[in-house]
Amino acid sequence: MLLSLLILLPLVFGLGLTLVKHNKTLGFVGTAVSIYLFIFSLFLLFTDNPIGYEKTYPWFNFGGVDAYISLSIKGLGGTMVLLTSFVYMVLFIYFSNIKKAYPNTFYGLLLVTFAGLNGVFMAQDLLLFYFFWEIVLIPMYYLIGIWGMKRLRITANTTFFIYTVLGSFLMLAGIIFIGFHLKPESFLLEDVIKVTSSYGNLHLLALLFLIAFAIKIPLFPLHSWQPPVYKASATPVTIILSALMAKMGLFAVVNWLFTLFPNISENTDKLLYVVGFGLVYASLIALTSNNVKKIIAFSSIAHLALVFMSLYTQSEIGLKGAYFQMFSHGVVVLGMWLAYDYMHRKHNLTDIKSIGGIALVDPAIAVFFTFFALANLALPLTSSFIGEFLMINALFSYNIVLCIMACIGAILSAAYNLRLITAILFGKRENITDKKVKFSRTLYIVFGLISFVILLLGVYPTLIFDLL
Amino acid sequence: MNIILTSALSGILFMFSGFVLKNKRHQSLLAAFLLVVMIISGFVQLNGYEVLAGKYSNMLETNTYSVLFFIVLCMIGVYYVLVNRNEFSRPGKLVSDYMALIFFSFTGIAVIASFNNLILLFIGIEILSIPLYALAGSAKNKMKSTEAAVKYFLMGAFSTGLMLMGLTLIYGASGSFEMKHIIDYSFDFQSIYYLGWVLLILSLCFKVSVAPMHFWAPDVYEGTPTVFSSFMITIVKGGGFLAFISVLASFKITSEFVGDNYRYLLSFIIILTLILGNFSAMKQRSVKRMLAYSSVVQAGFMMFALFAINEESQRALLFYTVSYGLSSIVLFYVLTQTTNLNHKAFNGLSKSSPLLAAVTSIALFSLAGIPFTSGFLAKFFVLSSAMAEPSNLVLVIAALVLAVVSVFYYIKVIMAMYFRKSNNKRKIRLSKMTQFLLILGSALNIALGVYPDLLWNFLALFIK
Repeated sequence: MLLSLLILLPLVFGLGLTLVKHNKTLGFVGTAVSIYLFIFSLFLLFTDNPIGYEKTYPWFNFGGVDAYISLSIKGLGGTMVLLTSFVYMVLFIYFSNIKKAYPNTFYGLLLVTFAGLNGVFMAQDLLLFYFFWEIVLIPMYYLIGIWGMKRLRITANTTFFIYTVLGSFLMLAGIIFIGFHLKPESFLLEDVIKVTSSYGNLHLLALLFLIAFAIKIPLFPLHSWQPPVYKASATPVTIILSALMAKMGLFAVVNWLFTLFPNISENTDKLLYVVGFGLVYASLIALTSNNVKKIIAFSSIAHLALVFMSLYTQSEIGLKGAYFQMFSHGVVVLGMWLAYDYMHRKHNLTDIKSIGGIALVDPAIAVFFTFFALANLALPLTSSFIGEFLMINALFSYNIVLCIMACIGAILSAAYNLRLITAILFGKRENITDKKVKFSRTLYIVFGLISFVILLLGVYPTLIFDLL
Repeated sequence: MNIILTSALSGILFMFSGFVLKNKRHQSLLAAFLLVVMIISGFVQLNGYEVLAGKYSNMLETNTYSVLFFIVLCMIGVYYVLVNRNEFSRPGKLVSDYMALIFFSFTGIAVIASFNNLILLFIGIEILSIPLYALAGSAKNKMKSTEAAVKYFLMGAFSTGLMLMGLTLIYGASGSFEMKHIIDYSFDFQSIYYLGWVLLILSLCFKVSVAPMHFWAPDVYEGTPTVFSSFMITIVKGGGFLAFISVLASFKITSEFVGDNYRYLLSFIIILTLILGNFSAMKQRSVKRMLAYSSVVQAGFMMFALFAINEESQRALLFYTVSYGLSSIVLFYVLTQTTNLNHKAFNGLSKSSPLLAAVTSIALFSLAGIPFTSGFLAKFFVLSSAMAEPSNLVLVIAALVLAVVSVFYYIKVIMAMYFRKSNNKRKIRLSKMTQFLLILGSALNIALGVYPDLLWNFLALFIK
């Protein structure tokens, strides 16, 4: 029961919040829930917990195949749960501090998404996994559509929804085939593995799953929904999308694709060239565009493509690096987006051409943003360095062409991150106030916390490695 | 026999109830009460107490599944008459007559639920359909309603002709109308026999409105007053599928020759239905017409349950009917509350009535097959029951990809409700009872979507 608290608590509070009328913003409820869950998941993962790591309840039976409500926080799933609660905690502390930022329904829907994400990361039953995978989509749909940018939101949102539903439905076809043609005893991961590993050629089936996951990550050429959605949606939503929902796809590749179809990465290795091309392509777009949200969006595509390539090598080092980077990217990108949101609110930042010299009036955010950008380009001592080093290392021994692509991506990453900070923080003072801006204590706590985690993991990565 | 008797008597009772009950709302309450009586009589029959048992020379038979199906349709019916209790007087003043017609339709379903002889199947389907022709034309001063009635009647007569021809051919080949003789039929006149079945299947396709016999559906569902199209789309369609699945049970669809050909025929029907239905629905401006096309699509999905007639597919079909009924009744009720039937009328509904917007979203997500609503599990079950034949995978994938198109036109309504503003500031007021019923329906929808065994456990409570 206590394990399902990670899902039930945000779900109940979230649904409760959506029903509260707008009068008074109750962001603190979200803050409380997420702080509690962060501590709870720390406790679950880092101590000898008496609750146990797994729990299974019967759900229903159809056609002789059982479905279970089976949850586990072992391994990568546990790390992702930790990341989710961390991101949510920081997010809520930051946004509930801003007066009248968003109404209660918004926070409620965010919490519902929280529940869904935790469900995806903990589900050990194929059908349950699919359930949560889709449930995340619904609150997201409303979050983007109602609070998004006026002009863009409806088309962006529709594209997003249709794209992801297409992926999910393909995966559903795969699940139905596994369940009712291969006939495992149940949809539990261990039972499904038994039938898929003994059955012969299942590449086409694996492809159905892969498409669904690739759309969520998103991988080139299925990425086209992502930049407009990142651009159109409110910042907290963008953060959830890029820091957590993209990880859903990567996590699913590890936890479901690789375990159900162990040979998939050998048989579809040509795919990596496409992904590698996408990496370079996304980096180039990030380098040439002027809209800050777009730059961060495409940088995210590039980084996640690298993680995916590294996962696909299936080498020990590559997997380790990728797991680590999945956590690290979540934290770094959280910092980037929050810093962007702060500058957007305070200095009306949207485009790097129209603004400059923020460092002169607001040195605190300049320091933090520089730090996050450097972390984003994987400077040593930051957490991304560890991940990226291991991943490029793995790619080097796997395939030299892919490694070169990854390296080009890394170089371009340095270029666009530096371009970003020089253009908006330094340079001539443009379109900003003359007065010095006061940086509140909460903001120090928020940005300090993120920086601390980035540094801590950069210096002492064993913390994450031990969890895996 | 219990169910036939009670539903027919209820219909007759309603023909005269207009003399006594002047208040229209009391009519609906009486209807709900009589439906409950029908449900009870059904359970009594299932528990072995049947009126005149064994007195009808094998024409009727108590089949647990069919009676349960009938009971479930009656339960949907209770929900239907309660939710729409104030709407029945909209098309015209003759509420008691409409109710009588509805109950005669139920009588038809009751006959379908108990037939053991093809003649009775035919009679059941006719009893089911004829009241509907009248209901379709009940808004006498509206052109569209009259058009719907005429169209429905002509097309219905046409499909009846097909069915009669089919039955005759089957009779000619097998020498009997009795189900068990048809099952044991020795293959002497193969071609006539199979032609008969094809005609029978096509005419049933007409009743459940799947392609290539679906063309009447959008016009009729649109023209019929909304209250009654809600009835036709949920309960009547359920009755049609009940007829379908019980008659196919006596067709040797597993035998070698039939198996493949039957599968091709069904696959063709399904794919055609999904393509035509989805792409036509996408283009509609009127939400009601969109829902009419979507009902064609949903019927296409229900056809998946007919690939193999076994316990799974029967359960899947029943579950689908319940899920679809819950969603559609809510949606059609919402249509009676909006100013007109276009997408524009839904603009800003989340402001003018948050409750209506919320229940509409849940119903639409359910139709689209998004998890946490029963619609997802319904789709999952019917598709799964078709998967016994592995080559159906292609069909399943095609159906799901086409379902993405359906997601597009469903979310168009959600988009209008939540993301677009309306100039109309009018608040929609709903009575406490209606609010409660709408919430109850949506809650049931979600409850079934999370815990599907609820339905079976509930039904099992009443059976010995």
